[in-house]
Amino acid sequence: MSAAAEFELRNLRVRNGTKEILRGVDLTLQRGETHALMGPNGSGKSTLANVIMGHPDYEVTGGDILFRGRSLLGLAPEERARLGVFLAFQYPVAVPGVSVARFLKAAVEAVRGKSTGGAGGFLKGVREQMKFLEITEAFLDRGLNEGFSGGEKKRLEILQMLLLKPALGVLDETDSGLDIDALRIVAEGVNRLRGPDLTLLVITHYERLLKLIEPDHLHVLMNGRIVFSGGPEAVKKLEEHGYDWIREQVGAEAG
Amino acid sequence: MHTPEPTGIDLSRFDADALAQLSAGAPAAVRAQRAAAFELFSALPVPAARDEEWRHSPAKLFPLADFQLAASPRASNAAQTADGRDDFDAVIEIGDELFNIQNRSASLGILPLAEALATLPANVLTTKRKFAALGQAFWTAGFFIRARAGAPVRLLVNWRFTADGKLHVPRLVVAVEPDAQLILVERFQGLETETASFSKDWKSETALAVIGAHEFHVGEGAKLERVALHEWSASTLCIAEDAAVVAGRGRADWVTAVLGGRAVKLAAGCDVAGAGAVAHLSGLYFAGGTQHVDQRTVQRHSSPDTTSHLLYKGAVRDQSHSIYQGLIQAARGAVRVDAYQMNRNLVLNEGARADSLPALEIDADDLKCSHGSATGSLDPEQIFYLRARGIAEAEARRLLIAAYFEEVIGKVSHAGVQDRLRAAVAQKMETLS
Repeated sequence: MSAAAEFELRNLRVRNGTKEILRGVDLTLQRGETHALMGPNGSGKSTLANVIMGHPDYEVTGGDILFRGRSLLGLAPEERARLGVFLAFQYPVAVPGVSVARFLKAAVEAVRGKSTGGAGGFLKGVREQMKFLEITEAFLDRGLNEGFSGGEKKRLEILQMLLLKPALGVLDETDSGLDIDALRIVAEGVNRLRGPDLTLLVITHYERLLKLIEPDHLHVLMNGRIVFSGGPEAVKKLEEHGYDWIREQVGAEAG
Repeated sequence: MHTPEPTGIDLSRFDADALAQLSAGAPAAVRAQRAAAFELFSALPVPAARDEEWRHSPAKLFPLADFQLAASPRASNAAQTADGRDDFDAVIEIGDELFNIQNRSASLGILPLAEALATLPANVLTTKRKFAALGQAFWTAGFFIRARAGAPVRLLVNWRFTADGKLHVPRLVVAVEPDAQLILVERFQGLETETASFSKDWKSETALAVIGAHEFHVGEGAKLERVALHEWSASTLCIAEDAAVVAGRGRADWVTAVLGGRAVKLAAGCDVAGAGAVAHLSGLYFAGGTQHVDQRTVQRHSSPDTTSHLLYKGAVRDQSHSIYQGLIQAARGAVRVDAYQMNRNLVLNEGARADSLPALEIDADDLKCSHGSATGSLDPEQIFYLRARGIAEAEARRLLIAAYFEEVIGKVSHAGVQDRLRAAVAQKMETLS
């Protein structure tokens, strides 16, 4: 047997209030792999992303989330982040009064567990990544996500990923609300980090992102379960035929 | 069951004898001024719980009769000690027994009130407020400040009283002459003789009581920025009723920060009284332990074409209680008025309480007048976002509270004072989990 997978969901069941949203999800990501997770609205994709990060609103009622063989379930969100788990939020929240520069420094120091030194040296590295993502420097002094457009917020999420260098990146519909140019920039940002040390779970509605960030595997989530898993060739099939053929395959059970 | 008629604060100490003692040996003009104010004070009713404004601050919070009226401090040449005094053109330090004035500005006049009375502006405000009248009659430490036209002048006034059972009555009369610009920073501190905490244990012998009554006259085209930092110690009781009048094209920026004090009751009234006058009133308050912080603001538009914008932001934790009451008044004929009032409160735990009571009294039409109020806890989605980036929950909460107050801190022009406010907020959060 090989060593433990980099990331694994085992029969994961999750509830929000009285509603069961994930009804036994199994997923295994080997180190360095990129997996795409697709599915129609309401299938539980965002719940999955939030549960991986430890959002307090969701209750895990069964199964496990394993990162390098270790269960994340008892860990606070900040502990998961420090282990190398990163969630690029679908809707990054605005935090007026906390500047982008200050936030980035606090986040990097928290995740690395040590000071980044003076602001000057730290910001030099930040500026280089900002330039790559075509984010203007003026953003550093603005309130975090305050008055940012959808595209600006998503770019800032990717900037954070580039700075925090996670082992596991979960992108929750990072492509939603982006025009073609912004999509390209975001994808290039993600690809910049790809390699044997980054395992990625890319959650999306649309195939267009998967042409820019090519996955090794593709999964379809419906009604709280993985109903299809396949290779990258499935992206094209989904694009041409939508989810209906999967619905037919899994029958009435997937609703 | 019959509820007894609530009684007001015991002000029996403020009688003719006490006035005579304060007036002894004073120049005739001083005695005349005190006597006139005493008459006004005596005629005004003692506020009690039946008055809307005092409904949330019961008399038992302010046992003023247990305190001895302090003697007036004497002039001293002692070296000054206030932090950051080098940032200012002039500094007044006032202690229990001594005061000291250092003034390097040619466009600023500072005089002890007793010496200044002969030159005071004729329009010393007539007040309908009991404690403002008390301050006008019984001031123990008073100063007259006059800023003349010219470049902005920065003045620090450092009030520091010992918590030893005395009651002090500080009073400033500030005249910012036409086209003058004054930045006035006041720090209010109490010095404990023994370690006190914001808890229920309290006795008057080791406590401090303060009744303040300041007035500000902002002339035509003049600018006044006034920052009041209430950093009182845990035993301090403070009641202050301050008033400002802003003449045509004048501007007042008034920032009040309440961080300390056992029980604090402040009233800040600002009249934009001439066409083009602008007032910006800002407040920051953060209460913990069993602190009681009750604030009242009045934005009075007695003239057409005037603007007043207000933003008060507070936070309460532990078993503390804050009250904010705001009133916008527009006099008959005050048209083309732009008035805005916003009060926000953060309630950090169950058991802490924040009351917000905005009100409008409008006698005019053709005006833009709006107010709002919002009270809530920290946003869990913001906390989650920060935690998802590795920031521990307690640190995330501290970061968000600090961020919440930044909007008000940003209204202060002086960078050193901004930092002082940030440090004071940080200190309030130290034991927060």
